[in-house]
Amino acid sequence: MIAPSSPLPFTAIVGQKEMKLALLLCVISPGIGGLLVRGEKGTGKSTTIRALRGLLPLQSVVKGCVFGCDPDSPSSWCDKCRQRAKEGSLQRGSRVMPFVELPLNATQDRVLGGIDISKSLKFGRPMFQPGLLARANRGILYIDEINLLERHLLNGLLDAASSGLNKVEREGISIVHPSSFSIIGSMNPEEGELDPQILDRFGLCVEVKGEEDLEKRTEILRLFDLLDQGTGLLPNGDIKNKEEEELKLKLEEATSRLKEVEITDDKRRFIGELSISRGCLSLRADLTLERASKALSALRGKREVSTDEILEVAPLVYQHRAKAHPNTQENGKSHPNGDKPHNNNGEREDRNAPRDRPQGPSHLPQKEHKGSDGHAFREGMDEEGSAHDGAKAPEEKVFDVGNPFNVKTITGSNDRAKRYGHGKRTPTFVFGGRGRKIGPTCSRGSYIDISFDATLRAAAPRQRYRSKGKPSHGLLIHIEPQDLRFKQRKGTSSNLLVFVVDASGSMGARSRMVASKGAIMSLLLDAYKKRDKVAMISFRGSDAKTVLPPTSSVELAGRHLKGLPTGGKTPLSKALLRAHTLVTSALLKDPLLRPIILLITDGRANQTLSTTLGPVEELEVVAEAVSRDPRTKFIVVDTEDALSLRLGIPRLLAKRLGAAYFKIEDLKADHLISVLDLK
Amino acid sequence: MNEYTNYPFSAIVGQEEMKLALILNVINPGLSGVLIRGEKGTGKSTAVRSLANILPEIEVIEGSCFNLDPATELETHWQIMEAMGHAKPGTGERKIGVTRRKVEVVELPVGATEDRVAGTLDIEHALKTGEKRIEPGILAKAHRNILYVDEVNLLDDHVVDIMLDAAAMGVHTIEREGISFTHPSRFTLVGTMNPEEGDLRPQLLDRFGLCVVVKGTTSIEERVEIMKRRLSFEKKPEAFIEAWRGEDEALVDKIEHARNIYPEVIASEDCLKTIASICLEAGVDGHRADIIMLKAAKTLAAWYGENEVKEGHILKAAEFVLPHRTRRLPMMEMEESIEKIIHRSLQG
Repeated sequence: MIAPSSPLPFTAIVGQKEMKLALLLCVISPGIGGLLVRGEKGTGKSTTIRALRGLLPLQSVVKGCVFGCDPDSPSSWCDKCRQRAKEGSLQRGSRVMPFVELPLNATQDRVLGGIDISKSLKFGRPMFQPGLLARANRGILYIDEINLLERHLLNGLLDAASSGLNKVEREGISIVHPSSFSIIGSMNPEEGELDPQILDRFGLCVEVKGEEDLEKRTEILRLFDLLDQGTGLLPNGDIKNKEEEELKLKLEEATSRLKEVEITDDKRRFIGELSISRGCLSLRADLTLERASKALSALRGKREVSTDEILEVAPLVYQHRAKAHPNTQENGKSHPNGDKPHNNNGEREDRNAPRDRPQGPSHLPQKEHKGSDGHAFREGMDEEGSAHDGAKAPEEKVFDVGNPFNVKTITGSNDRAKRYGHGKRTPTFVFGGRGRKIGPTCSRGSYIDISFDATLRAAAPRQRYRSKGKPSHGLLIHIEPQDLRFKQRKGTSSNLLVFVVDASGSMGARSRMVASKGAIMSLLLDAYKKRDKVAMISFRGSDAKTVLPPTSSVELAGRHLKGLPTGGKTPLSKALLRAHTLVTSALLKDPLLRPIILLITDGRANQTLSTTLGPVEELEVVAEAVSRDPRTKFIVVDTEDALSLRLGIPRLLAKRLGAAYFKIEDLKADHLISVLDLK
Repeated sequence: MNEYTNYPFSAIVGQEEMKLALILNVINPGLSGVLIRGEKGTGKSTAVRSLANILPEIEVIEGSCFNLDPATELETHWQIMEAMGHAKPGTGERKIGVTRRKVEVVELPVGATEDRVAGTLDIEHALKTGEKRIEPGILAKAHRNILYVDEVNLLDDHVVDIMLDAAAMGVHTIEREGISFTHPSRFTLVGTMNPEEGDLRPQLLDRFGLCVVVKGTTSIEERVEIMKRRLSFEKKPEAFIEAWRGEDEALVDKIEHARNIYPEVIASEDCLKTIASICLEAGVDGHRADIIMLKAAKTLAAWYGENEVKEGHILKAAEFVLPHRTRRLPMMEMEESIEKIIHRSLQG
């Protein structure tokens, strides 16, 4: 059948040793629990994974079984095979281990299985049509861009992967069938992260990155130049093919040898200690490590697991798990990607400790900063350099953007109101043709959005007795009102993040502005991932200006942020009112929008609107007034630094606004633990 | 799209970079498309639509709604025919007709829904006969054609994801609504966008092989010339097209020639090294930039009628390949000009 294939044979792929090893282990032992490949775009993730197709070993199956049951393992048989065994009609056959790809457009009925329309029509009762999970049984299920897959699909998949069974209870079908497969996912963390609980369910994880060695890069180019010439020749021509054949043979042997590989209790204890020292309390890690090291031993033709194998696969196992451990956070700054897999026990500690930071775009290798002349981000709060860089006038300065970081998750509360938006931050049910279809429902919205396939599936089993004595209108199928199913779509209502940035003179002190800009940049990057709209208001002197009206161009916002000058007085109350006006008009345009006003200030208000009240009292009055609209959420980010005298106005302001209150430092997310839900 | 009402490609004033990028993609569909960024009213869409005039002819299997290539995709054709229920598996004599037709510009409208793009269950057929059949979507139509997405930055996220998937693999798999179907879908992706309305995700940016930025011209003469040509086109389109036919045809011949000599273009070891070091210096993610730069340099050489890649070709290719790929925070502006990067890498 036509299938997306890799342009290269597995053995011809340059570098990426760790990923290749992990893939081979997954083929040898499905019990490992799958593999997650994380890395930048264009690093050959899917090319390498798809190249695995050429290596898959043969397996013996029950002839004619849709699920490809193993004739030698009666406990995993499907109902039909059990019956076959009883009748004595069980025959052996063989097939290549399946490699099934799950495209992002997949709907639930195709993944899990659903009603077969044609068959149901014929037999007059619900007939099951096996889905991808049935096809992937005893093989590999590959999902590219797994972080973009619908959550409910992913959950269903992982449930099946861990239990080895797929339970279908839908559309009048109740069936359980074996579905044990290795799930291989690839993703680019730039596009959003997977939840930690989902990460843990992957047995192994590798990080891939592009080659940085000139020779290797050139080698890769040479390979593609040859491919481009279309002669079908690879460097060293047939030698590569021979390698491929050899590897295939080795894999087949390893697969059959796996059952014989043993592990002593001593080694098991070693694994346990390793996990504890990594701060990895998930028992899944121990199990996976045991299985993976067995698979590696099998690949190497050994009968017993030694420490070498355990240590070699350990990084693959702890890669995505050690993050959760609080003790490892101190090392957060170092970059986990740089080092290569090695067998040295002593160095291993260093290698795994720093993996507590999520792989967002925020910690690109430090190296890239060096070349850009004073523009790119400074490391931390490099006071001297940054404060003088863009000086225009004595009291008006343009500060650099501080080092961005990953921010805590800021979400609105999930509600059941129906919206038409399409952001990513706050999940909501969407009617009206937009949003991703998540499944059919019996209840219709005001917008007629019939799910034809679900309607047909509902109607199919009843056709036998319906077709009698009714006009057919040239159609074969009679559909009655009770069959109608409507599309239920899930989108995410978009948020509007209004950044209200204090650009007054006091913010210039102690490079507060550098840190603030860094924080805002981080929030902007987060807004990008969530596809939010952003707007920016800055205030200084006597005025608060809308620097950027609501837009979805985060790039534009970043540019404005960079050029934002600082200096002058602090008209805080005016800024609040301006933000309120902006949000109100945005809400008029789109009543389902969810505005979040982020106030970034040190709170030293000293410019009032009127003359009757002091700056702080006035601020309190204004704050109470603008916080009356329940649709708007507020967040106050306090930029007062610990070294100077804290006046505590931001905290007071947050109280009046009913806002969430953060200090800049608090915003940095450890991305696992800190989920802020603004309820 | 009717080819007779398209503005002639060669009558477009200026915008040489954009025209060159489009031509390169016509010569070599392996360049994975071009992204045209620019303000409104700079002739982006006009240029893409007028591409239809200079596209080459290809051979297709007659009656196939997937534009399959009779030379390489015969087997696929029968697999698809079987899957769609038009042919019985492995029986009888199999004959196909072959026709020639021009490569088309297939448009993907911004409002396109997931099922129209991906393909879905043929409802009419299912209601009439009770059988499942696939109704191919835009991605099927786009095979071996040019897929044009106007305002690509405004497209729905999940539609983009589906499109990307196909663009990356050259194959599109449908697993939805009771249908399970795979068909080839190799297309040249051409997108236009106005960056003011929001940017593309880096992942999508990277999938476009080349990128050009267009600006409205500030030369008075050019502006006058543009107006003159536009007006005379609108007054008498047929006459205008006729007047430019010769130039368009010359262009087609030149493209044809470049297509023919492309397989013979050689890139020396030094060239490969130069490309790799430019990409390293620019700090791009992954290797797509290297590969595309090599292909673009070879295509440029072919376009200029040479059979060897020279440094000039590489430098020109870098200008097309790097702007949207330089590693940066996704939303930050590129601070350094491409020339600087190239300069540094050549010195280093």
